[in-house]
Amino acid sequence: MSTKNVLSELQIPLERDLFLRTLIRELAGTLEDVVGFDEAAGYISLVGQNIGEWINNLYIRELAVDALSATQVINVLLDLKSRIQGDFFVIEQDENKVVLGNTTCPFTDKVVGRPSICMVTSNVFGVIIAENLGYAKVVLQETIAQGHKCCRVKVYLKPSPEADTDEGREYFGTARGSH
Amino acid sequence: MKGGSILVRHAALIEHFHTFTDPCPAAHILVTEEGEIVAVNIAAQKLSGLERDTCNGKKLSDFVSDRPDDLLQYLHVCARNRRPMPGAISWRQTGNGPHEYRCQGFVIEPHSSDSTALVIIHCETKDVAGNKFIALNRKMEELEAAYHKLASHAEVLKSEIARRMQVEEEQRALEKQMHHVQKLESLGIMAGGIAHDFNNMLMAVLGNADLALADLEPWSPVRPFIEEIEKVSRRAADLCRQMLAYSGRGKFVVKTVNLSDLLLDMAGMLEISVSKKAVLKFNCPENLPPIDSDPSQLRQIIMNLVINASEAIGNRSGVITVSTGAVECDRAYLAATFLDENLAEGLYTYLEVADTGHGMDRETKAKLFDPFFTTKFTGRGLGMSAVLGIVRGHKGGIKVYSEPGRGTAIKLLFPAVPDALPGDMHEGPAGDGKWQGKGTVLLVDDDETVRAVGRQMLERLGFNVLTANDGSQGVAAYREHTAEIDLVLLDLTMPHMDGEETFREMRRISAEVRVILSSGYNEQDVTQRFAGKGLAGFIQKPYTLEPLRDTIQKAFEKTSRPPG
Repeated sequence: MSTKNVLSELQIPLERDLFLRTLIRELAGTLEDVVGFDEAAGYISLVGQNIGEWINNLYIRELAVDALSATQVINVLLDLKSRIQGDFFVIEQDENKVVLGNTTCPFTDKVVGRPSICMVTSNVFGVIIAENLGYAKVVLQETIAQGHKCCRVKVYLKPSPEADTDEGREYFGTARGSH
Repeated sequence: MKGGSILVRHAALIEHFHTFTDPCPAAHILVTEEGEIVAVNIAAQKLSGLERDTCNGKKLSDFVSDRPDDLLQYLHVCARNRRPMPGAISWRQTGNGPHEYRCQGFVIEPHSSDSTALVIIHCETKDVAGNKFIALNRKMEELEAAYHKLASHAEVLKSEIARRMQVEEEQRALEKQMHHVQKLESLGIMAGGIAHDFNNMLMAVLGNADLALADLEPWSPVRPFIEEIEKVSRRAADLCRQMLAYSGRGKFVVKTVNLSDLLLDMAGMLEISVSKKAVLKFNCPENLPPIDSDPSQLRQIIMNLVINASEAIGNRSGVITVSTGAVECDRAYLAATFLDENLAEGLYTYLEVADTGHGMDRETKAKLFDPFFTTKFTGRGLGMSAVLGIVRGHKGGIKVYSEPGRGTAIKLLFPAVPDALPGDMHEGPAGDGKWQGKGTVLLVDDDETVRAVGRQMLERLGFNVLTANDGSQGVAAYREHTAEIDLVLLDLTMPHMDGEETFREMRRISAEVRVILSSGYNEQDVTQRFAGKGLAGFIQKPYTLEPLRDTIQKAFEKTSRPPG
């Protein structure tokens, strides 16, 4: 048997998805180590916003609407996570907020110890909601990255005294996003 | 732009922007999400050439070399988020080409239906922004700060360790001392027991020898043998006495004794006991505080010390000086005595025997008082042990100063009898109608005995007493306590600064100073020297309580200022 054949039959858990997740983990880790969590979170927020805007445009285009309704927004959040192998579900919901749970992170265990990666979720959610509903506040109450068993994400859909007192990131609609 | 002039709508916000950012060295720009400049702080004005009053409405993209789309995308991102979003801007600077800046942008006024979003951009040069090296430097600074914090803790830890080591050292010294005391006591008990039993046996030997001699004819051929038995038995009895003395259980007949008198009584015997090469000197002041003591034991230890001193001089020429005196002993002084067994602070009378003999090394000095330790070929090693036993029995202390090749001085301290002052042994108690003073007296004298005895006398007269060892100390003490000192009792002859100069310095501090001069010179000589200088009195040394009382009383009567 040739060497090439021997290597290809080795049971090494290496494939593109794992490679990319590991790459992201290492990038996030390096950023956190070099510039600190806050600044690393800022850089990842930039990435998250762009991705959020891209995903938002995908759904708007496919649904052929100018803007998503509140219900559509929540469904989009669940759907997009499902498509990238997350496992988000609604824990509770009212007209002002929705609390989402998640037992599987799209980054899998590569997210553990890298909380700055959670800025992707925060910003994707925040941008999609804010671009469609004008405002969002995303509160990462529990995260797998921080060692919790599952994620618990509270999302405020409109400003409120309760939202004001909660610790999270606020997102606003923009002129470009006004439909 | 929607809903009228931004300047009008956001006047308050713009005012706040300038208030908070103008003092900052970093450039700040208030800009709409579409890239229209609203306001720039002073640093940004310098950077861009924009002016505060004319910047409004100008396009940020005209002042930066970034692609307009990229700039708008960045502003767009910033407009969404209250948290700072990192980015980079290349400012166009006149003559210098583009200059790259790192920036952080965040929304200050979110987009609404009737207003565009306002974003603040904060710029820092790349040199000072958080690049990897800067971040590393910051980490180094943090590490350094942490190190300094740790170092300060280490200092505390170090001093704590030093303190503990000192405590442990003191504890070890105490244990060693306790051990030594216990050893001496054990040996003392044993020596005392042996001496007691031997004494009884010697009593039988001596008694029977004596009886035998009484019955023997003078020409009896056995008489020399019996006499030899008696002679050796007496030497053995002497040895027993030494052992008993060491055990502290010797004969103890306590009397009030003046050490100087006792010593001078022994002078003749001591002179014939020392080597012909040794000169024996006495320095024994008369007015010495008495001590409660067994005179025969005192004689024994004086003899032991003087003979040891003589033997230390050996065949060379040398001097043995026997001194007495008084000294006020505080805790620190007593702590330095051999086997300080919590001796009480206060006035002590001392006996010092100093020689110019071969001295002792540290090892010999450490064993000096050990029973049966001797450096002499024929010694029994009980002489110094007996000295120690007797001094301990008197609740006294011993100080030993010795240097190999230079000599030894052994100072024995005995507590002075309270309320029995020299020249005052039959004095009536205070309150018998005699004059009493009050207030504070500064006693300046270079002789520790004069200071010690003088203090006792002055306290007896009702004064608080401060003492100084010489003129300069006296001046310093007077300067510090001018207000409270009512009288200065000043010695005339002192080293460094004599009484005359001291008096002059004190007069400079206060012309009111009341000084009584004391001197061995006669009054006439002294008062002539100080004529017209405001001397309050003179007392001739050696003085006793009554003359001192009279002199001080006259001094206070002479000057109008009352004591106290």
